[in-house]
Amino acid sequence: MILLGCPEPPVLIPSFLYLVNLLKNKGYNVFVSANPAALKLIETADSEKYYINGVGFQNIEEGIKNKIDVDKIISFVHNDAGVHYTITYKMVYNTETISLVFGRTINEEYIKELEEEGIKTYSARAFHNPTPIVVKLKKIVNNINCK
Amino acid sequence: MSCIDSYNYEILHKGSFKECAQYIKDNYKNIRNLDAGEEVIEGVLLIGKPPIPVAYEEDYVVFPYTKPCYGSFVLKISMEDYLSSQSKKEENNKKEKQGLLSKLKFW
Repeated sequence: MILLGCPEPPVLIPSFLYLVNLLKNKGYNVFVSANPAALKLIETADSEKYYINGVGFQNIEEGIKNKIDVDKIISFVHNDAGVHYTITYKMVYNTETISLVFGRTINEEYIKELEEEGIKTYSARAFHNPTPIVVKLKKIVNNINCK
Repeated sequence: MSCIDSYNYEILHKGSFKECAQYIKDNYKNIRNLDAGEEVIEGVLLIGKPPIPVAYEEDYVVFPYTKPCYGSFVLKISMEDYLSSQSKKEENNKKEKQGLLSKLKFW
């Protein structure tokens, strides 16, 4: 499951589509829990549903109530809310959670809070240029091992 | 529509989650520390790093609530508002009943 919060940073939606593609190419079933604005942007970016075909989606708030069965959670984090949604999802789903903290600058406090809750955290300084995120996403996907 | 919108609430404070949790600890006595994902009032689940302080007073409840784009808030819902919200909520449930068949949608 991929977790997306506020879609304000320009790199977020392209990076999400990149990650979906990486995961689908490896044969994983992908779900996304995102806020409605992010879902709208994804649908607009991939209006022919080339990348997102077959991807399950739900509202980020609904996902806390309606738990589905997932092996892993990968969460994009760029603000305080992202940190706390990620921690909440990890607790509710009780599954391995990986987070990618990104932004113009890296807030070390976010990394500390996530790691204190047992969330493996990667970081990438990126806002407009997705390359640092792409490098980390490849690393994350290479390191995951789902059933 | 998120569940919190079904209630009439008062915003007491806005800030980071940590600041909101501290605000509750500093201003209320009757506090219970709950876990993330616990239901604080019907349909509203707590979001944040535990322990999440929730103040239960005689006729109201105060808790932190986080929105992905807008950050964290300290919300106060009085018993009076809670009860009057129930009719509003029932109406929303009726409208949303169609969507209940499939919680997760697929593109």
